[in-house]
Amino acid sequence: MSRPHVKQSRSRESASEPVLVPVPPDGRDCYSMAMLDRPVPTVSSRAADPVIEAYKKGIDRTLIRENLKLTPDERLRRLEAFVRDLERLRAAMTRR
Amino acid sequence: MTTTSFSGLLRSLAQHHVDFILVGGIAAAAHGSVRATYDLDVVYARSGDNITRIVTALRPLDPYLRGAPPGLPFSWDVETVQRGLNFTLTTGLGSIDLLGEITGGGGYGDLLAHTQNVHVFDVDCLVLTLDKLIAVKRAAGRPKDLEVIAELEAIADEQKG
Repeated sequence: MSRPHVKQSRSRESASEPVLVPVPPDGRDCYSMAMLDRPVPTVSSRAADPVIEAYKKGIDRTLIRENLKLTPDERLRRLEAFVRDLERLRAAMTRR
Repeated sequence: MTTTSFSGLLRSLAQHHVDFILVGGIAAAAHGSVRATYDLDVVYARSGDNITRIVTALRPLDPYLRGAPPGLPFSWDVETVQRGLNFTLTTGLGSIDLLGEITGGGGYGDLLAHTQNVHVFDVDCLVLTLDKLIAVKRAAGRPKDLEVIAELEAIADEQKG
């Protein structure tokens, strides 16, 4: 199959095909290599969503930083205590 | 009035050796979210043995369909769980969502590779990683999750320094 655009690019950059597309020693094709080596998307590599970026501006990072000083166990114990306090408050208000 | 006890629910699942992964708000809280959540969200393995263990673990807590009118012919047994997939329940220790699958994440087996161990309430359990939690929240595409995703991404930013 003729690939004139590839040939033109190669010629322009003075690059041979082995330079552009190194052949792996085990003979796997380039597509398989690319898929195998494809990095798993992470937060850092994920495309920024403008809506979420807008929401981020409203996030109080000081609270997050304080929370990150705790262990997961301490965070969940605090959460449970908070929810129980809230339930007691709601119950008290219902009784009034 | 039911007093929410995440600790009690978790211990009950752990004591009965239920295979589950913490997801949702409780997983977000474990990762550092400051948002309150009022139920325990778990993805459970759909194997027959595990369903039996879940049914046994929750039976003493009188699980019932959350938001459903009282008196429905709801029976908490293995057959009920096998016939369904996701259950939003009230129990004597608070609300629990038992999820056979989650959008963007699949089932227990699919999610295992995206979990980390945590020790909470004296229980060793699996929690969805922060990255995967963000991914499934994004995949769910619910407007109510936008602020949650923003906070989780902020947490990821803070952890990276």
